[in-house]
Amino acid sequence: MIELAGVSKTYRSLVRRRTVHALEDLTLAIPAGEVFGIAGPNGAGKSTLISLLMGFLVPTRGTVRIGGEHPRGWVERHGASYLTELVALPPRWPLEQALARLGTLAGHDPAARRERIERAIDVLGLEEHRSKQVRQLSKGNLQRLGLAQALLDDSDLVILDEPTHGLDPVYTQRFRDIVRELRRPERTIVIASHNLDELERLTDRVAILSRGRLQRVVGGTDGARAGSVAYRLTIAGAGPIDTAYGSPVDGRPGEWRLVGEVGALNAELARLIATGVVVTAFYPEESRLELEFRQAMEEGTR
Amino acid sequence: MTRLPIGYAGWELRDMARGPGAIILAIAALVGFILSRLPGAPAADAGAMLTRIADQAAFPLVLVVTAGMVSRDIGEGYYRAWFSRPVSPPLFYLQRFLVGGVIFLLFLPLLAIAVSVRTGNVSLPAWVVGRAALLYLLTGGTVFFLSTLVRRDWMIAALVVITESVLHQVQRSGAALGPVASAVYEVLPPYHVTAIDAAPSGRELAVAAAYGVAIVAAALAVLRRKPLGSGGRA
Repeated sequence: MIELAGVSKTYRSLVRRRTVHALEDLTLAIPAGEVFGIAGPNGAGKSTLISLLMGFLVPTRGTVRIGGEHPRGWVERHGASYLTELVALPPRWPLEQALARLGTLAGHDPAARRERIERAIDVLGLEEHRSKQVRQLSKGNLQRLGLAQALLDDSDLVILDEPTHGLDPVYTQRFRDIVRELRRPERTIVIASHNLDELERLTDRVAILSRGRLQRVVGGTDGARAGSVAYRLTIAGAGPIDTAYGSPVDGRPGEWRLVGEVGALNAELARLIATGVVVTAFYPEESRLELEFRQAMEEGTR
Repeated sequence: MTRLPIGYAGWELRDMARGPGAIILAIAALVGFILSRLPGAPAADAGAMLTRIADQAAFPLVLVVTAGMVSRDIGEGYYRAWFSRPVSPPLFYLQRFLVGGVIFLLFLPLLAIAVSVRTGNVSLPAWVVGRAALLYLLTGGTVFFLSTLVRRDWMIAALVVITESVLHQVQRSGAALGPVASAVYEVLPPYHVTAIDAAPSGRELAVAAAYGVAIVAAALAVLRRKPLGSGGRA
């Protein structure tokens, strides 16, 4: 569905004669049916990559293709479900009217448009805000409007830039459900986010960018962690825990930090349980994506 | 499918009517009010009065209608919402330009009604409408073209139009233009021809119309070729 081959994007300031390499030599293929994440710190090139996918920018070098076509041509023919990082709509437009206008632009017939608008308003809980102007919406409600306008269309290309930015926990959870419902074999979903936990929950693979370079692509089917990793162990009560673990983490009774290779830690857990310790939780201190992200950033700064 | 977003024309018309349209209505009402308060006998030639007033008001009104036609959407980032839909930017903005033309031309019947307060009869000669349409095509087209490239489109357009008009007046007065000024005058579109009270030849009108079509075509070509974004978030 999406193919990037040797893509670089350089911004040049004519006045200050400054050159910024936003993306460098990026090669990536995202098949239809995949939910693909893009992670990276500020300035990593995530938004530039999304602008290239939408055809709002053209690469300085390399090629970007969607379904074998130039992105602008593809989007002009099929349309994309697109949420921008900063939702920008004319401030005086009432929310419902904004959706009606965008539905009209998408070419929906009036009956389908009405149905899609009502569904989007319902799913994103915007009923009480439908007559408010865009400028009157809070940050979270504006983000929900951004999601609603993206959901109006039924495109095979869904691009969401920082989708949970400003959302409260209820709508963050609802957003996750929405993405799961959006999954289809013919549809490609791209999510750019700073939120690694969210990307880990929702995506099949995540590209980690740093300083415009693709550091690595972390897949959902990658093998177990290698090497020594830190875990948190919590136990019920003050069982006979081994003093070799040192003091409880942050002085919290029953919570311990274990560092080691996974196999050895398993054996240790079995030994503890055999001695009567009731284990209530055992989890990595950082998720695999967080670990990969941290390592990628360290490599990127070398 | 790439198409002219005809269904959206109603929204464009509504936006134009509420913005520039309201200004046009206010100016026509003001003209009517001023004329109704003038002392002396009513003027006989409604057409001549209409032409003189329209000639004064038309240029600034074209700027009001076309200012920021493209550049506002790019500057504010609205284009990202418009063009994630199956919509072609050149066709979208061509439609906006045409709707703007309709709103601009509405000024003439409103003005004719305002003038009738003084003259007692409504007169709107077809050639006045034609000349106003040519003015919109050439001057409005210039703002449209500049709007695809820069933010201060209407200011630069005003500078270009005024420069051409000044050079034309200098040349008409018999004074010699220097080589640079002469070259500039030759290159610039003949904006002076579109003055509603001017009396150009048919050839001059045809040249002005050709320039207008070429400038609008150039604006559409820029929208076709130039990426709308200028940075990651821009």
